[in-house]
Amino acid sequence: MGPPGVLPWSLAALALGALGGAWWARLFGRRGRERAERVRSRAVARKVSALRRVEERYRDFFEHSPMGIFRSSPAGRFLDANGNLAGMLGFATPAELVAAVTDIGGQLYLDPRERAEAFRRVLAEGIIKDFEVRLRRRDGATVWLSLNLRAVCGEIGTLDHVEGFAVNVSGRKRAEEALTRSLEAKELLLQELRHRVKNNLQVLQSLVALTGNRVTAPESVRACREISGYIRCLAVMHALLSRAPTGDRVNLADMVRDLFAAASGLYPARGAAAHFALEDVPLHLDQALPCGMLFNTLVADVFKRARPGGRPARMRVELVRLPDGRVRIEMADGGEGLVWKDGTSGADMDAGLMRSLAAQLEAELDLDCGEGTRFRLVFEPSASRDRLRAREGTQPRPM
Amino acid sequence: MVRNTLNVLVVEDEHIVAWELTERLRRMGYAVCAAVPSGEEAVRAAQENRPDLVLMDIMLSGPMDGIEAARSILTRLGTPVVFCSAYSGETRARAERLGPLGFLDKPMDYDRLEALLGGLDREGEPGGAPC
Repeated sequence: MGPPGVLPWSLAALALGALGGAWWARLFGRRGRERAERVRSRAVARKVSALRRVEERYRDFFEHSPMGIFRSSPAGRFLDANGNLAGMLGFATPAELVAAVTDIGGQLYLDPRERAEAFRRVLAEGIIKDFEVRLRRRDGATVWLSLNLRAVCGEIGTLDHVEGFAVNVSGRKRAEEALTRSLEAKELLLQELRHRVKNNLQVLQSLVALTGNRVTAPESVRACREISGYIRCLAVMHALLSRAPTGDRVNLADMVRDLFAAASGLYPARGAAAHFALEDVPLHLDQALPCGMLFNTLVADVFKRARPGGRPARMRVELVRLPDGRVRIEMADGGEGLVWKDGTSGADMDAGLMRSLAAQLEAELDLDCGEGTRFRLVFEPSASRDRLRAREGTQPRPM
Repeated sequence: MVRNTLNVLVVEDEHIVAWELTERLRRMGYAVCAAVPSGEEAVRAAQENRPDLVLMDIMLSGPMDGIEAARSILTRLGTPVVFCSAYSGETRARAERLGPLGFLDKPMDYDRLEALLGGLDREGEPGGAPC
């Protein structure tokens, strides 16, 4: 007698397992019991087979993964490793790696503190990603690995082992190191060039000063002093540029203040009092230089007017960025008027220089020489011009 | 005309700069005991002349740079040093760690040089204030 027709044989097999053969035989007889046992054996075999297939799939994934996979103990041994990791570290097989390495930190890490740090972090955070370490391959070469690690804790919460995935990032690291070396070399070259430029300006300044010491005509002495002023102006621009984060723009406000201070040093016996109202305006070098030279000419003129020991020359300088993006520099004196307006020697040079520099800036230049002098310069900063060039498909001039 | 009391040693390998600096210092009324182009000569000249101040370039002729020469002079004689150099960045930071009296960037602001010398000169006068 078999089990009732409503009871499937698979359930009968389960019931057989649960109740035991003797109970089943008592209920359904020997033949029913044997049939149920056969069904049960087939079900177990299918389950084992399915589990084997799953295990094979995971084993295949583990063995042939394009990244290194491992489990390691806190004591520093590999519990398991795949072929890719073994290859990264210069071993022929995972078994060779597991057998040869008994102290991962000491044998593999260039700096064993990196492994201690990885364990400290993985214990604290559970999972850490993109932890880059330098390891020593079996052949002594250095390999950079990026690790993703997961802490696996035991029943009492202490770290049992760590599971990890490793990617060889040596190529990227070598490229990064080469780039860093190249940048360092360029920075060194740039520093040396800056040093040479400043040294050459110093030699030029010394030559002009030596010449100035040997001429007697007042015009020659004045000419030497003015040339010194332009050299100082170039030095100021250079110093500002060397401090600029991008190396191609200077803050116009800083330039105005520094040029005024440099001119004060050039005419120490004369005084000039300045009032500044300056907005920060970053300016590209191709405009900063003519702008600086122009301002230097004006400031030198203010100092020239001040009589030694007399009332100091006064000046007010305002620097604003207009709503349309253009920059306006205004300078007014204390009512004395420009020297070059009076037709004194050097006047043509100063006037011509100012007009020429304003033209280079593509600036509007207004001079009002009624009651004293009011100077106004309006121009578009180069950032706007760069955009214009980009729209027109033209390249900016090389610096 | 020597109206100031300082005796200055100029250490500069660029001869034109050294010449002009010497002339300028003398016109300002200071004495220049020597102008030398190398670190080794600077140490020797400082020992021989015992200057009140050393104006020191950093890049010099010979193996000893201005920072090493200044270190030697400061250690042996304690003479104040003012660096005059076009170097910036790490080199300047290294020089400044020696605790010099000043650092003049090239091309030099002579107004600052005069202020430094004047301050040091007044220190030597009765009632003079340190700069």
